Amino acid sequence: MPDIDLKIDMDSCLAVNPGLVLRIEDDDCALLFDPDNGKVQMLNGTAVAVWQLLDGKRTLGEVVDCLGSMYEGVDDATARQVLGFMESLAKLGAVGVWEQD
Amino acid sequence: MPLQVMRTPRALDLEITSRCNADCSYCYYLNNPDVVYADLPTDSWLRFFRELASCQVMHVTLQGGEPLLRDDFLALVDGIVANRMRYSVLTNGSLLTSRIAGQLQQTGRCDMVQVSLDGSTAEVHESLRGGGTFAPALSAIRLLQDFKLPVTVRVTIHPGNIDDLAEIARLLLRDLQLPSFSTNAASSLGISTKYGSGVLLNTTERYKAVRTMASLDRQYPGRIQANAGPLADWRMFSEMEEARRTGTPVAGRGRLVGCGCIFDSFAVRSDGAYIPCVMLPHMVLGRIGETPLTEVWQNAESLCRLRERRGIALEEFDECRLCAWRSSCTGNCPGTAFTATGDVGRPCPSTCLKRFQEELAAEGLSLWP
Repeated sequence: MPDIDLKIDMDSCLAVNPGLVLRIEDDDCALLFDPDNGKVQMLNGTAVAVWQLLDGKRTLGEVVDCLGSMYEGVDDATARQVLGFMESLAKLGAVGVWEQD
Repeated sequence: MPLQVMRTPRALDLEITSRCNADCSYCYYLNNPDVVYADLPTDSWLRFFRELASCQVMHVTLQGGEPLLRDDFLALVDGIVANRMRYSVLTNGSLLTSRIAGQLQQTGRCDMVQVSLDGSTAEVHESLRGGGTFAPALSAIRLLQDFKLPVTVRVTIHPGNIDDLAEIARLLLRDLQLPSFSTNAASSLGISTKYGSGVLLNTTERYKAVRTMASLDRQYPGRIQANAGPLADWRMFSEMEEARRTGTPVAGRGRLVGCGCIFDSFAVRSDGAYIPCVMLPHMVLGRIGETPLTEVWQNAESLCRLRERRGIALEEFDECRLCAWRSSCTGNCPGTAFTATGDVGRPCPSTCLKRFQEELAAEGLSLWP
């Protein structure tokens, strides 16, 4: 189970909850589906890119750096947005620090 | 401009068996020359569920035949859960046990179990569903409630239960305290074509069913669902009449837009054939295990043509050209259109408001004063 009170900063190495389903509908929209409760969240293209970069090894700082190589205009504000996004996903149990098998 | 279709379907209807332990007189499925009565083995379904997971499918509905007739039913449910999907089950309830209900409850992934019930008494329910089917259906509903599973009921309206509809609603919504139930009506598919007038509503019966369901809809607001049959017709007809009366057509209508299902879901027959929906079992798009789901979903020619029917304007059809409701009409279901006309690219005459009003007028009746 993820730690929903997890303290997250730019050095955190987060991974996605492997029980969730990311459905990419088109270039600008994806659905994040939790089969355990049926809840669905919409993600935009940038959020999908972030999601796909969360491998449990990259720090959030490195994730933002990767975004910078993919999109123009990535700056400190983007980093804060990514941090806020991660905090909201962590509260939902969608991302966390997962123990290695 | 080509239609935008999602990369993979969000949901599938899976006819996991062609077998049934009931013999309902109006079954669209039994005695249907377009259905191949063969069941895939467990392994084929489990492999398919893995493919569904790779396509990010979110939901499947298990139906038949009677899905609980499969000995491996719970193994299939486990396969669905293991592949990160949710599911619903459509059943007559006769084979439901505490063990099965408990297993379904434990998965935490069951969105709905739908039990078929057509009467408030054994006499009415069994008039077309056969003897000994009422008590098991009622027991199944109660068992599902005991296990706190989301249970709903489908009532098929036919000539023999129109006078019982108010009692059915009372039984389901007051006595059993279900949050809601749904209704439809028998259509000319499968074995119902054999029994004809005994199971299909004639004009007067349909009128009575529409009036009754409209009244029950007011009595139980928001608690009776309908995608087809008298209540669905009433809702659609009321909307169309209001649009005609006020001169404000319903946006997006006036074309064959009656079916949205094929834009986010499709179906698989018990023999593994992909079909657009269970109402179009003859339209084979490919086979599971042979053609990748994504390929069928995105490129199957007849599925693409079916989607493109939305571009066909109703004014192209002689029977629609002078219709006062045309600009707010959807042309209705392609499945029933095919049954009635042999062509999915036409409006469905059996759910046509203009035609219904003409038939009613011949009987001295009208939907509106």
